[in-house]
Amino acid sequence: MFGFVYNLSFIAIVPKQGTSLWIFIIGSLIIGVLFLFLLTRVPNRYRKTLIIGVTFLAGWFYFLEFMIPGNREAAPIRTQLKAAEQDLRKVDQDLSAVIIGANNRSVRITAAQRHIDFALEDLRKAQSLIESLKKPTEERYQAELKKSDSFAEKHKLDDKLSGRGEDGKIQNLQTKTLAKTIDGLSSAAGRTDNAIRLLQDVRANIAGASDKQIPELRGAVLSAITQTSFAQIEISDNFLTPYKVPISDILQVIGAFTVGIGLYSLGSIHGKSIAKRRPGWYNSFAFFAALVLMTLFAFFKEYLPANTDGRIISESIYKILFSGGLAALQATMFSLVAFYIVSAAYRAFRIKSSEAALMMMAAFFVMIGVVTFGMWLTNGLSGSLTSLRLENIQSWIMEVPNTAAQRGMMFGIGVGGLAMALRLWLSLERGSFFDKQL
Amino acid sequence: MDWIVELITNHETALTLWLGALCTLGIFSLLYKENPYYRLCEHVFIGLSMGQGVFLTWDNVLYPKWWLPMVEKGQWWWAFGVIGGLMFYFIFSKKNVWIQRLIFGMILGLGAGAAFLAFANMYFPMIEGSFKPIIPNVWSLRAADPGVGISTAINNFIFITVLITVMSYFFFSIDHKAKSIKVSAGLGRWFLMFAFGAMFGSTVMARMALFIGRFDFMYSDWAPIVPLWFWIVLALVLAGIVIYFWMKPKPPKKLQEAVEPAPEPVGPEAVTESTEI
Amino acid sequence: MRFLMNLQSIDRRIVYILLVIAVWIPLRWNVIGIDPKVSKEVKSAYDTIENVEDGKIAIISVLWGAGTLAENRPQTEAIARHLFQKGVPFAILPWDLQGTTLAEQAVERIAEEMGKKEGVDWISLGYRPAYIDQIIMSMAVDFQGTFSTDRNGIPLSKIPMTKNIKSVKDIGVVMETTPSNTIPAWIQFLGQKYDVPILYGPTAVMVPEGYNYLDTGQIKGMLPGMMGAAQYEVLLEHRGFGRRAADALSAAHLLIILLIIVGNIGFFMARTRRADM
Repeated sequence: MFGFVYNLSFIAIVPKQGTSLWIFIIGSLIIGVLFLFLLTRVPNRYRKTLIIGVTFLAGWFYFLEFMIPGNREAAPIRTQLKAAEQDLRKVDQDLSAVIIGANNRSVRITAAQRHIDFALEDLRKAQSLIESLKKPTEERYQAELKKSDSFAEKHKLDDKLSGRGEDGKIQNLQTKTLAKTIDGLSSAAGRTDNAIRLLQDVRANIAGASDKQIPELRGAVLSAITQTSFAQIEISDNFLTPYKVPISDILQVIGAFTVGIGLYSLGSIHGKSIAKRRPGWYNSFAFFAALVLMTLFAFFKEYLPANTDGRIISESIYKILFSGGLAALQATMFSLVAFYIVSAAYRAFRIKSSEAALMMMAAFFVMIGVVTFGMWLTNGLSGSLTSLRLENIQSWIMEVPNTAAQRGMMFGIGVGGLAMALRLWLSLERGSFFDKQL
Repeated sequence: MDWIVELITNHETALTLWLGALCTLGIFSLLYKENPYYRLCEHVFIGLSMGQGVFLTWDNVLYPKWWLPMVEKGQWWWAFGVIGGLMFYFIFSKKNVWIQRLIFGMILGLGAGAAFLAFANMYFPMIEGSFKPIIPNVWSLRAADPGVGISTAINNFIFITVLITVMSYFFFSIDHKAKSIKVSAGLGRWFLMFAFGAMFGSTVMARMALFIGRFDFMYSDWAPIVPLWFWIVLALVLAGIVIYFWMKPKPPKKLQEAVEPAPEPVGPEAVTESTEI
Repeated sequence: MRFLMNLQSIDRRIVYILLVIAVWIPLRWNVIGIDPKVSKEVKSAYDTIENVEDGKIAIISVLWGAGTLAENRPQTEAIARHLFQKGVPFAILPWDLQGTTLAEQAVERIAEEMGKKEGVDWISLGYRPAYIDQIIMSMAVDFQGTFSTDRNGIPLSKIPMTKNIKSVKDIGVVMETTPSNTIPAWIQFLGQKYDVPILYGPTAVMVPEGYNYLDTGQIKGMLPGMMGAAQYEVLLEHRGFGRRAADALSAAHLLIILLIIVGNIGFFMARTRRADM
């Protein structure tokens, strides 16, 4: 399975250069257009099935990437690390109990000692497993490099075409993935080592630790937990993970081509308006003028030879158009809302019910507590009255009732979102876009 | 040619400020009423924005991610990217609009597949974080982690009460007829008002900040470079406009009322950004 | 009595003028003159950056455009300034057509002021059109492969700052400055999954929701709107736009509260009168 997926990109896909490159590009375009033409010939009754199929297949990628555990060889390491992490969480509980003054202090300390021992054992096992996995991975990496080299040689690819890096090694999806695995293993080993050192230190000091030292030891245990969980992340990639990169590339490229859609729609609307001399046609003219000026000078400032008059002037004009025109216009459009919100609040915010009063009260504290005026008003309150300062009331409203209410809403949104995703994936969604006649 | 270069590069800042001020005033003129100056600014904005879009899309995305690999590294298969992009353009075809849905389907599918990971990473920590200790284990007002002091416990209790009641308000799978759920949902509605109040306050703050930003530009950046005669001319023009509207015969009262209805005071639910105001 | 009733129908243009005056006075004269108090969430954002491990880079994600310039730019500037001070190299990752240029200009200015160099202390990864989820997931696996080049077209493998940056484990902190709901993408695909600290710079509108992520630790700190930036400036001992505009914001809030009160007085008067009749 692994080998198959990795080798897929080697099926006759060889970079070209010179004339043959252009032949291939044009050939691909012709094939693509033919493909589009064939699509237009697909009978109506198959179209929906095709869309459903494509949507369904696409959905599997990220779903599987999420569901499939990391590569099989690293699984035992992860198991050991996870076990160590769980033991350490128990240590944290025990130490926390000691810190808040539980009465069975000595029992808790002994338990913590025992769990640290377990964790140390697990971590050492993980370490040796990592070491034993490193060598075969290294060998696979070297083999892959050799394979890529011979591929480049066979097809007479120069360094640029074969993707040779500065270190002389060919960088493609396969070699990069293996290099990353090795890198991950080394980091995981380093992290495990850190965790072991931290824990050994804790183990040595815990028996005779005073009450003041315990929080410090707990801090060390917490950072050991972080190191252990990081180590698990370092080796969590599965065989689909590397393909996230080409997918994002493809999406960016095809997404970028959509810029023409906006250009075409706007151009046709305003073009028609000018051609037919509709009322306000001069505005459409201004649209075209702005579009052409902005595009031209933006490209000139980037692509004209440096230090020429043309380039210098283009840089200036672009800055003027951008900061003086585009940014100023957009910023002002948004700031108009300030006037509307003042007017709306004044005209519509009436206390007609207890709910409205409650909302008003919360809004009042938030508005006044967040600004310097509110802070200045209650600056004098100190000692036990500090919590009555307006800024503290504001942050209490934000952190307690607001957060809880927001979370209640978010849970609803989350479940709804997941259901929606499922409906989209399985093409069960209904509505104007999805029910359109094909 | 030299003098143009000099004129523009030497006066770059001033030109930017003046253009910025003209554009700002153009948009703000909408506050008085809809007018051709505002319309012009609107169209210029769309044009400039599109121009910036074309440039950045090529320069930052298509050139490094598509053109370079294809032409410099010989990866001819990127040519198929054009075909993928072209599929979106079937939105303009009446007969074959479905092809555009094919590519959208792929993107929606990819997004839907990622939703499971998204849900797990987003909501599992939130669910876990909602189980807060409500019984203090340290009997003092303030206690630091891992201790739970009295004030923390009270706050946690309020938190959980609000969370449960709000969730019950949004729980539509059962009828809100039973007394317990009616009370709980009613309480939830009250607590939601806290959140809405906080949201309203925050929204006001956000909008005001944007206006202050704009005003600061006009006042601190542009105004200092404006010569005195400009202010005089501006004042005269403004006075002229005001006098013009003052002298203009007003439409009959009934008609005016129909155009501008008296404000209808309503509850908090009406406090939204209305374009009519 | 009639006067009080009329209080609920002041002409909107008078309200607008009042707002302009309210904002103008504190920008002209230093009225209140105290610095904003630094809140917990801002302090913890500051501490997170203070504790970035050596050899890691930071990412400032720029979702904002000119529309929310006054809120998000001070945040971006404050964080950039802190990263420069601390010597943590950072990459700007812009997703907005205007934000790309605006953020780059802002950082260029600060870099020049502090004597920092592009390519060593900071880079811009160039505009990304969309697909934030997929790009974040891909960046976590292969940083250089995902972005290929910086804004000037130089391959990331040849830039001193990024040549050793391979994947998510070389990213020390991510700051998301945004006017829209994009923080979940960072939490879901980077923060939770790979345990990378995420900081949040929302516009004030998004702030109430942000406290949720703070509570669960899904984000490590937050700069709530422009006031958040002002508080950060206090920590940096630098006086930027945030601190300068803080008093103007106070005045605007005060005006809005007064207007609501005045409107309600008019409303109650009218209601009492109607009840009398």
